[in-house]
Amino acid sequence: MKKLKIEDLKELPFPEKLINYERQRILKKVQSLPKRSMLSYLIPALSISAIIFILVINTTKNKNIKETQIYNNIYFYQFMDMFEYMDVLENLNEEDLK
Amino acid sequence: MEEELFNNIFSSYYKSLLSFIYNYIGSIEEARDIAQEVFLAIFKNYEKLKNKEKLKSWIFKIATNKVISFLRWKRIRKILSLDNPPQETKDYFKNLIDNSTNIEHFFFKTEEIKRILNKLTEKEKLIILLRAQGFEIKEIASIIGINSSTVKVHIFNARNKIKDDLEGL
Repeated sequence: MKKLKIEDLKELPFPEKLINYERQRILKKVQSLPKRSMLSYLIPALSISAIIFILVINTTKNKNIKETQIYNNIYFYQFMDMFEYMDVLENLNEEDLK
Repeated sequence: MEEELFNNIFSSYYKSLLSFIYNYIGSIEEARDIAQEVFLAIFKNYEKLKNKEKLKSWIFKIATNKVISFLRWKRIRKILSLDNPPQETKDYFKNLIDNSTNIEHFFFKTEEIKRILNKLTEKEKLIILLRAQGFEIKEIASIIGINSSTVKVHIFNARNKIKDDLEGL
């Protein structure tokens, strides 16, 4: 019996009909693979922009709140100071006013 | 990916790829499905391949990985008795055969190859089939992910087992 050669393992004599059928089958599948559209670039870009926008707005908002709180505190202490001053006045004796 | 590029890659590699997978797993139906998966993986990732000169090596690496994971999955299904062995007889091929094909020649050759390869272990079979595709020892080592000296040992052992049946190994 004739010996097989190592090259015989490389390509089997598949029928051309089978090869052509597979060519069409795989080509159809390859063409139906989802292609990367503009949207696939646009969506991440928009998401990142939206996140940056929200962060900037939040930081500004926090800054405003902090400033308002500082002013409120100043007014509060000024207000308290006024009461303390009134207290002192009320507790003054007539003698002290002389 | 353009159709022209697809045709070029298909014409250059499909037959050898299908032969490689078929010789390794022994079922034409499953080999066709795996070859299809390999081609889809090629076209999904073609742009990522930096060195286009290594295309052949890359394709067979994908095929090797697919075949190994397929066999692993098949073994699990066999253990769980979910699979019946495929019944692929000459009848199965009837609708795929054209007049130009010598079916007797095809079956004689594939049966002879099966008989010879059955003498080898899984790894030896894989290495011999990659060798038949023209890969050097270093390339085979890189595709399978083992070192070159282990590849040499496997080739030496395989040669001893099949030297009476196969020439030019």
